[in-house]
Amino acid sequence: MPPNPSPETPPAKPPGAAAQWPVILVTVLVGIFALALIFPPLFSTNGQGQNQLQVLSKGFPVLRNNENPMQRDTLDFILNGGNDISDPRMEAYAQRPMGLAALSRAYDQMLPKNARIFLSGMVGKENTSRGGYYFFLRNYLFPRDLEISLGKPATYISDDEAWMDGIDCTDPEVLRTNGFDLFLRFGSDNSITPIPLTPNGGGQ
Amino acid sequence: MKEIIAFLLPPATAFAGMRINRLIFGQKLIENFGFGVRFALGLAIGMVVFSQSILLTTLIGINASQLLGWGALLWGATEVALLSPRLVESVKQFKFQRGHLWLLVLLPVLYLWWVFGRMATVEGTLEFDANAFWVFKAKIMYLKQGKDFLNVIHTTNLGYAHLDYPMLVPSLYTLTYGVVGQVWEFTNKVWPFWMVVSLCLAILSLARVWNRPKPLAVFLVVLFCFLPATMQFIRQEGGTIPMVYCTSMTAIFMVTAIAYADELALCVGILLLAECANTKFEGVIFTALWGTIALIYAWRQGWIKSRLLWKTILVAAVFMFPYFCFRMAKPVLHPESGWLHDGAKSPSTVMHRFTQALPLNIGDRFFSKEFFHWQTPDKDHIQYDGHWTGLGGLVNPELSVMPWMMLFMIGLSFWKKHRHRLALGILLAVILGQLVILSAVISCLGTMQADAGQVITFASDVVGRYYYPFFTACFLGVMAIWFVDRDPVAKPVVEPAPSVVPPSPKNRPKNRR
Repeated sequence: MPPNPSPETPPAKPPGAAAQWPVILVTVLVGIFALALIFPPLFSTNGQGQNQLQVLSKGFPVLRNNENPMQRDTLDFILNGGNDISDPRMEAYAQRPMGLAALSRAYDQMLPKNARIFLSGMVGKENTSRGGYYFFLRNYLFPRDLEISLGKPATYISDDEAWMDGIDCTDPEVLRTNGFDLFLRFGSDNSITPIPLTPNGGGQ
Repeated sequence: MKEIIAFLLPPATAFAGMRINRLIFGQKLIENFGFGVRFALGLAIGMVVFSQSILLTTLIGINASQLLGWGALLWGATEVALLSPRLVESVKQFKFQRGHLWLLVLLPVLYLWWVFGRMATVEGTLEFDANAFWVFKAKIMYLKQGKDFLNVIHTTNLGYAHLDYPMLVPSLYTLTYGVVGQVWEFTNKVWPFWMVVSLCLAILSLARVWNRPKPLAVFLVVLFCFLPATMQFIRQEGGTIPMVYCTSMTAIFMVTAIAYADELALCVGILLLAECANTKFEGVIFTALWGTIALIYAWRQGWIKSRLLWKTILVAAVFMFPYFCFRMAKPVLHPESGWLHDGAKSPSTVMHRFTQALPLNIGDRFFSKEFFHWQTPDKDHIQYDGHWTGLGGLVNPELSVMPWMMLFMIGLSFWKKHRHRLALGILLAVILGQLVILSAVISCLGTMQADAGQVITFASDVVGRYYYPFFTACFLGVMAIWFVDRDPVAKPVVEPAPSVVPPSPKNRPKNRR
């Protein structure tokens, strides 16, 4: 049995500031870190004196008022380059597709849903870096048939590199006889040239 | 109009999910957790239920996206109507305290949500992977069902599209297309936006900031929202924010369950694992790790025969059934899905790459790119190629100084929170296990085995979005020990034994930690 406390013994102290210091320390540290994170997006400005959130905020009505998916993707592409798309001069840029998403949408708007398309320059290990063009076009042109290999479907392979195995073709006549409506010729400068093969692919 | 409908779909799903959660967990859920937590849990479970219904109906051959989407909206609206009297009542009972002034710190967060919330309804697909895989799969599911769908997923030239991946995220986009009435990618970002919002509401609610306002949870919400990675990925589609959401929620609930010996929190955590497993490959690993530990812990606590536990496990298994059926349909595999096979061919190379990949993957989350810069002279070995740029070298472009703060908090928590060391230890074991397994998987890939330069580039440019959810989950899990406002666990009083006969298993105290 512990001895009875004498009347002179002071009462036990309630847990006070001394016991709370870890909580205070954690709060102060998290608070300083949180407030430090607020500053760059709210106060760092671009060349036009606008912060990141202001640029986005001003871009919102421009995007909302533009219902055309191709133009909206173009404007979004410009916006994500850090530009203020509420500037009237930017409107002229939106008429032509900029960025791969907008380019793919332009083909989507142009072609009927049953068009068959061939995209060259995608198969083989030497064309590994071009895969993104195929992935984007495949997404935006779906459910159309977009092929990158003639005769047999391409196969995606990943050994020491990730690449597409298949048979390439750059002859429009051969593609036409194989039932394709549009030939997208991929250039060495990463440009895409559309060559209509039938009226369904935009030809005469 | 379609923007507004799409924007309201996630909260409607959350309200519908709140009802589903109540059916699973009963009244205890309302008694133990505030509205913010229940809303966040509702979103998690609502997303799983509706997305997996989309997947299942697509496999069967029905385009049910419109029916399910509008069903979610109407169900959500009904739940709001039923909840509103109670919400009005709780608003009336609100008593202002001086501590509530701390909530003013949330003003920048509200501005952030205002900007990102509006942008979420008008911006196109920004992320490369989303264009190639996530959004593409949603489009396939909206346009093709049944046999047509199976034909598409068996197309070999779509092997790049990760068709074998869990389908929660694409199914959510398909659900949105259902209510909008067309493939309209400009509203996909409403999902990551609402996930960030509801995770913040859960943190504030767990800390009871409305009843006992303290600044820690408020600062934590500001920190999470303004973290560069959060600001980047909230505007991007794909699985990153969904992974942050479900892994962080799971970590918070599992830590709470272990720290306070709370069976309900453990069951909630197990149900959240169903969302993790349905979101991404990393989530499947996370589910396996936490699932194993949760079962061992439940057994140690004497909960293994609990009806609630097994009911939760059964529901979680049902949530995974549609994806199981989908995998049985054998979609064309991404070549990287053969990582185990590739690794088994040359284990010594894999081990060598693993010793490079793990420190690079982790180190790249702590330092700046200028300081933590590496190169390879011969495609096999790596050399340090960085330079000290001052204290800025300790600031990561995606996670800022959060990893350093996390290390400090882990140390302080082990020192000052003795009673929660088990919870902390388990959390760290799971997160470290996750980081190690992911690095091992990366080391097995053929491209990584062939060239150490690929390991360096991958660690620097890609792994950030794989590790960000787990660093965030770990940080929030550790912080949960500090911000979760719960009454301490009453230790069971053990009466002194009247004789030397040991107590029967029936009378043995259940809390055996």
